[in-house]
Amino acid sequence: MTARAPHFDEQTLLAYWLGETDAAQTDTIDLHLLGCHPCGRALDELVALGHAVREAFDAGLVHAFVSAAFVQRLVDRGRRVREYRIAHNGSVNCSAAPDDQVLVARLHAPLASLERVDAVLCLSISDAEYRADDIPFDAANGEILMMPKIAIVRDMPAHVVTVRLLAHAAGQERPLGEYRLNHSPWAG
Amino acid sequence: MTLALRIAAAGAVRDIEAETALYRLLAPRVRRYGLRHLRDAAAADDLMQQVMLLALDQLRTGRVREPERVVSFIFGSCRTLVLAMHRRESRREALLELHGESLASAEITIAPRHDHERVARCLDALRERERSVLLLSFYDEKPAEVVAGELGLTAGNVRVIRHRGIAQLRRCVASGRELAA
Repeated sequence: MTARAPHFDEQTLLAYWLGETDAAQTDTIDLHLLGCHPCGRALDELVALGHAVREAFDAGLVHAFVSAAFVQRLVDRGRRVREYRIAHNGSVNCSAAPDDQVLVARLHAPLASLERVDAVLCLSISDAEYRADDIPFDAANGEILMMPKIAIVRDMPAHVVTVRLLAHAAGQERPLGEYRLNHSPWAG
Repeated sequence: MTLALRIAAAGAVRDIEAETALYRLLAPRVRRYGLRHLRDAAAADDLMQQVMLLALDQLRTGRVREPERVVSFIFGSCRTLVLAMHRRESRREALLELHGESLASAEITIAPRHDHERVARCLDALRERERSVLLLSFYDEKPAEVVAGELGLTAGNVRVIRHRGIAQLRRCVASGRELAA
């Protein structure tokens, strides 16, 4: 079986898989994939990579800043999501129950007109500092949603996470807010 | 497509070797089509069986006009059956009764898999936006327009970030494989 059409590149295959191609393009790629082993393998590799990303997230091993819509989809799917809302410059006592699957910290901040936001995370039990540059944020709702690795957090001793937000606008960087997450192991 | 011609030529006598080879070659591709259009592994498995059994049945009985163009026949069958499955119509049981026994256990290509713990470590190495975009894109298989709307980006920007993130993730995963080998 020989594919007469030229092979598709990775971006096109991914666009096809994610439903970004129009009906005519989708038909063309469908037919090509039924006859082309190399393109099929390339797509399978992409899909497998995506599957592993999902598995990693489901295992609680992915830290990310996400959207409120994403969190809502997790809830809609029946995932056990524990959320903490933290007022601007506020603090919260937090923990992770054994059956929690996702932790979300909703950091409230004045985000309107900002071009970029960075976050600097410090743990009271470590000297290390983690800097997250250019994080996604929801300016309209004044909210940043942070998902830590729940598989790691769940086993940690009591500690405090300090999150400092830095705002960028008009070429200037300035402090935007500071938050304290007082973690303690689940008491039951 | 020699295999299809052999199956058609054998007719009722049946060329089991050619049938099995054709099934192994095309069934994974039909399953992939099913995953793309049905977004459900069990439904994709159903589609795979239905389409392949239908194709083999039609080849054997001389009802595929051009056996060498069996891929086009399968494409048409996929489209028709996916529409039918969307309408909850199914011919699976009847076809399985007719021909399923000899083919249901045929092996098909196993899709590649990645170690998710390795992938998690590689995700750590990405930029924040790359990780966010890949997670939102892959977790629910959302198109760039949706991810862009949720993260305050343009769809074009999401595609660029996604492409860059996948390339880096793949390099990282591949280097881990090489180290482990």
